[in-house]
Amino acid sequence: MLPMIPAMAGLLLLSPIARHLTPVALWTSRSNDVQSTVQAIGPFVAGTAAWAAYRERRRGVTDLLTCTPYPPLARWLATWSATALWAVLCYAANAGAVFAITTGQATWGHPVLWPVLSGLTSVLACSVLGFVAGKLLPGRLTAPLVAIGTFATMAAVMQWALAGGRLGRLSPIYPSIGESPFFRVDPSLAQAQALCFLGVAAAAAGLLAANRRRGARAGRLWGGAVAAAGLVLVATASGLAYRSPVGDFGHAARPPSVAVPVAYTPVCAGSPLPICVHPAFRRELAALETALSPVAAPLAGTPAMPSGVTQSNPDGSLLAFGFGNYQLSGDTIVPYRALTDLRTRFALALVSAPGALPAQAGAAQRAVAVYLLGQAGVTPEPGLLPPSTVDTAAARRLAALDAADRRAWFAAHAAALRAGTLTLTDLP
Amino acid sequence: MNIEVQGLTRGFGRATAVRDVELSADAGVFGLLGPNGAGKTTLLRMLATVIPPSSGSVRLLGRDPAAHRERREIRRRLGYLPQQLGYYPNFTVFEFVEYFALLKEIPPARAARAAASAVDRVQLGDRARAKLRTLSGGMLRRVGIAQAIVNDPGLLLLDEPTAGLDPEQRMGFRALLREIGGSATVVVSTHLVEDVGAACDRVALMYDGRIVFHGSPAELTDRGLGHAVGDAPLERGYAAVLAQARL
Repeated sequence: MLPMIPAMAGLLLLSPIARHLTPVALWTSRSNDVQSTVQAIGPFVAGTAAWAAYRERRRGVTDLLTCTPYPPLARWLATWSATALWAVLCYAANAGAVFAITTGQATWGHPVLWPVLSGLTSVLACSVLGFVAGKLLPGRLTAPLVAIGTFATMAAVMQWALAGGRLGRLSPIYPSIGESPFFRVDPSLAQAQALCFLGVAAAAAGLLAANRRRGARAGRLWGGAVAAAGLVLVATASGLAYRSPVGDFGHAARPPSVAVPVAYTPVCAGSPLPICVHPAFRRELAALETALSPVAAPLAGTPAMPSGVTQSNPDGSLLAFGFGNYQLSGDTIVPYRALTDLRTRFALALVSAPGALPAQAGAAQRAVAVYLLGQAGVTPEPGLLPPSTVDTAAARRLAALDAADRRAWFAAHAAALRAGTLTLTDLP
Repeated sequence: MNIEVQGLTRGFGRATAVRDVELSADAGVFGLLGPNGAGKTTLLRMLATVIPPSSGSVRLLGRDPAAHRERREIRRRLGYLPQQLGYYPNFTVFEFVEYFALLKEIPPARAARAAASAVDRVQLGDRARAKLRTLSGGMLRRVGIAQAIVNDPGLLLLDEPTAGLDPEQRMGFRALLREIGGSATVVVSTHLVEDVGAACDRVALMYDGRIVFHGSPAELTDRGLGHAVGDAPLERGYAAVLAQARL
């Protein structure tokens, strides 16, 4: 079993964890990250368990072992336990590493263990399924086929979930909790997943025990009972997963109708336009301030313009930002392209009516936004502000004004500009 | 009687490997002779409780192996060396024998001592720490015998135990068989008739799934009188019985 350690380490390097931990260190998303390692560990464990189960036959010791009084189920349990133990240790080590990294990065909250538990039960279920397959369908190809089959099944069920299938959320790699720190964690889907995986494991183990032709009658009956109990667990878990709201709204987030907001005190920075974020995003605050303050600088102190920017999360999706009353939807703020996107949305929001979408901006608003971005040295995101010679020309006229004149113009026209009543001809 | 078999039949699909065998044996060494494919291994596997019979009845050590609880009792007092000995190549000789001592439910406190004794009895004491993958075929055969006798069995079933042993080892092995046969029933399946002549009190000869001769080695020798085929008297008896069975 020792060779499994470097092999598993190698597989982990290919896992989502090794490639990218979620850029913003939220305990919720890191917990989902831990769960997602099942994508790499699960198939490997299933294949290894199938290989271990086939070992007696491969080594030709079946007859020797059969004629000993030691119960075969106990013997198999010992073999399976050894395989499962390595898998659990590997999973736990990975979880420990991720949480250790996150401890040094996260600024709010605590580890969420439900996704970790869901992943753990799915690892155990994979090992049981692989072992049972190795026993019932012994063969040299069983182990690789089981590994490939496990991977394909997980991916297929995940695709089903992404296509809208509610029961598809029982895939071991479907994020089991909403990641938004603005709302209380709902463990219902993680609980349903864990119950389902325990049920699958019990059903498979029971099937193996019940399938023994020469076993004690009581053992076969117990096996049948355990298999039936496993199926009941799976059915129960399916019902719970079907009713769970997790994932209904965006990627594993909660719909606003049932979300329970979490009380928190925002952390703020920046002057003259304070930028306030949820404490979970404290580490992003400096970058956010550096990115946004230069864009807003020409409007500082202008009446009718926002006096501050506050992060909110009204729709429950993790990385949608609402600044004040302005709805800003964006991706992560770390990669450069996304930062440009955020700045562009921010510039448009500053000159638009509260709640207006970027696409609803009028020509004058677009031109002022281009000016705000240009003076901050930002090239607008083409998807939000397509290059336009008219907008650019108007922005250049604004830029050419004397600073005092420009402030005076903004003070006089800010309300009309944001209301969308100005046209390009109204610009200086 | 440690072995009582009546009307024992075992089929595999359409083929019948053992048909209507009647057999009984008490303490002593019992030889099971026959050409390849005669059904010796299948009979031994049934006696070892590895496979159940298709029909007929078996009682081993006074118990019915068809009943789960009694089968477990039988297995505690059973030793079996299969024709093809499987093994875990990374186990040492001692580990392998101790592993089977534990599987035969020898108390853990006594398992190591029992394993060491069994390894010594097959003269592998000096190789006890050697990995199985490093052993020759003859040594592996002796390891197989050691695991079979580790629990001091009341019923010892050996399928081709002397295959791969050199003449000196075979002589030592026959002495071991006679010693064990003093208190236990030992069934030795072989096609080496000299082993039977040297070690067995009783012998049965199988052909085409049936027992075509059952008696003492001397009686088998008598059946060969006047029969020209074979280099030794027992071989001539063996050939004569087989020739008659083929008619």
